[in-house]
Amino acid sequence: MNATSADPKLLWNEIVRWTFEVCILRREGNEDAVTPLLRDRLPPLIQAWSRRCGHSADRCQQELRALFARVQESVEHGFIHRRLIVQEVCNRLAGPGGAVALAVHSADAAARKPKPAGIHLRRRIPLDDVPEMLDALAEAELADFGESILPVRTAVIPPASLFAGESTRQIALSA
Amino acid sequence: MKTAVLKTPAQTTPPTSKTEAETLLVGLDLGTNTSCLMAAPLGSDETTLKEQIPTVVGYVSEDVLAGIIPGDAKVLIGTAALKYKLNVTPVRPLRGGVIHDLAAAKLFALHLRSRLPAGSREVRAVIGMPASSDLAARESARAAVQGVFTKVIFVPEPFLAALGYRDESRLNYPDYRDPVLNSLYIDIGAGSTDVCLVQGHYPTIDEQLSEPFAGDAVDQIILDRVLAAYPDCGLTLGRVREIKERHSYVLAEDAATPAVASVMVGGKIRHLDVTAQIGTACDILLQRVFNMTRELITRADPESVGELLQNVIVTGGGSLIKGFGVALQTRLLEEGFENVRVQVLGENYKDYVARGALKAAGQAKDRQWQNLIG
Repeated sequence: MNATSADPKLLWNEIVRWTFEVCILRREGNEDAVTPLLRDRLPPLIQAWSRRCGHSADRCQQELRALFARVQESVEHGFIHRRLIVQEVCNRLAGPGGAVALAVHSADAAARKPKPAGIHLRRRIPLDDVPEMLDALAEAELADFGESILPVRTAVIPPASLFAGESTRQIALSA
Repeated sequence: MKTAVLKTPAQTTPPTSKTEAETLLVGLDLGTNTSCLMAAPLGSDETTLKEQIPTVVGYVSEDVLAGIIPGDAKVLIGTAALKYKLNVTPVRPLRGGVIHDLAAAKLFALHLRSRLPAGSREVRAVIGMPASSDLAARESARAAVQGVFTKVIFVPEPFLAALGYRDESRLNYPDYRDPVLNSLYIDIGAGSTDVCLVQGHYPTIDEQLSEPFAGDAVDQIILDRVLAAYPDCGLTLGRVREIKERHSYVLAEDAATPAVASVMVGGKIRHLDVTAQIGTACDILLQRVFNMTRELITRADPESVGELLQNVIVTGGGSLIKGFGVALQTRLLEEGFENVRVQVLGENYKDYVARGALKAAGQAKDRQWQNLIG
């Protein structure tokens, strides 16, 4: 689906999906992947939908603002639920989660490129700060572990009510 | 393999509390070919044990007569397994830097434990892992040391190498060049080659590259090419490794001594000149390392590159290839990089990861240790 579609419902649903993707990526701290979506992907979709939906400019803006707010809220809740589930699994398995304050924010699947194997830091930590490095590694390992038992894009999906005229099954399949 | 026990526990600084007296810290580089073990009591700056152990487990053959093997042992580990190689089936627990044979790895880990000073109630180990090891590899390593160490932390080897290579006691010396301020580390192991930027902080995901091409791949290329030239020679990977360790090179002038493989065919010894095959395989590795190095240099902040090129550090088993540092430096210069200085850490490269692991163990907080149950 792209901005050349004439069906405003289809365009709206694309806006929902990509807005959701942006929020997930941003929540994961993957700004590199967010930028091209905000710059190249969403604007033409929004323009095309605004032209074809038959609403006034004000109403279009209102609907988009409401959508962005709901998507952000939905993603935040999804991440919290996922973190709680992963934390519980870690606790029950006495797995790698025991040592750290949990902060599950895997960017692995989001990177849209094959993820290099191994544990990797996503922020700069001074070499003198060994405890901070160990915490960051534990977080990264936990994110790996979380992704293996409950992938972000399985746990965090857009609510069906945001879409125009698609069944939940269709949404799940296309997510 | 040299074994060095620096001090006995009794010679070390007395620990300051009962808990410290009962806790031993371990830094472990669990290598595919050789492992390095260091230990110190918690709260002490003194390293009480430093030992390199060949990572091999030898299962004694059923038909070995009594009295041949010391104590008629059924399993020999490390140097002993190599010493009695004709009487054992050797198994390398690791392949490509990660656990390949869990049962053998457990036996090897138990052997490591037996090398540590007795009397510690709790043993905490920081263990180096290849930068590219995945979740399954870390779980295997965890399973291998379960029941051997009380608590563990796994850390990527490049981090530990950087920590271990730094000499904090010399930081105030005017002529000391701090190797972690702005360096490019190249670690050529058995299973993977890791290249990373170390510029005052631990390398992030964008500052390191890892390729599953290293010493083992070189061995396989040599074997394939030798078998292509001498189809019935019966050369094995193990034998190739021995020959490579003596004769590997990347510059023609370093191949002055021909690499001659002596192999037994039909009860007769044949001497095969494998110089060209070894040279070709090592050149392939050099080209891969060069490509990775060039890629990472282009990712570095342009302002930092001048100094960075002065601190290209090659470590790992692959660094022992004759002429490797000079050849890499030459390729980088030919590529147009200026004032490149490639430094090879040499034979004791294994120490740096283990030393870094021991440093990390000393600074880890109690909550950061992972308990091993069982």
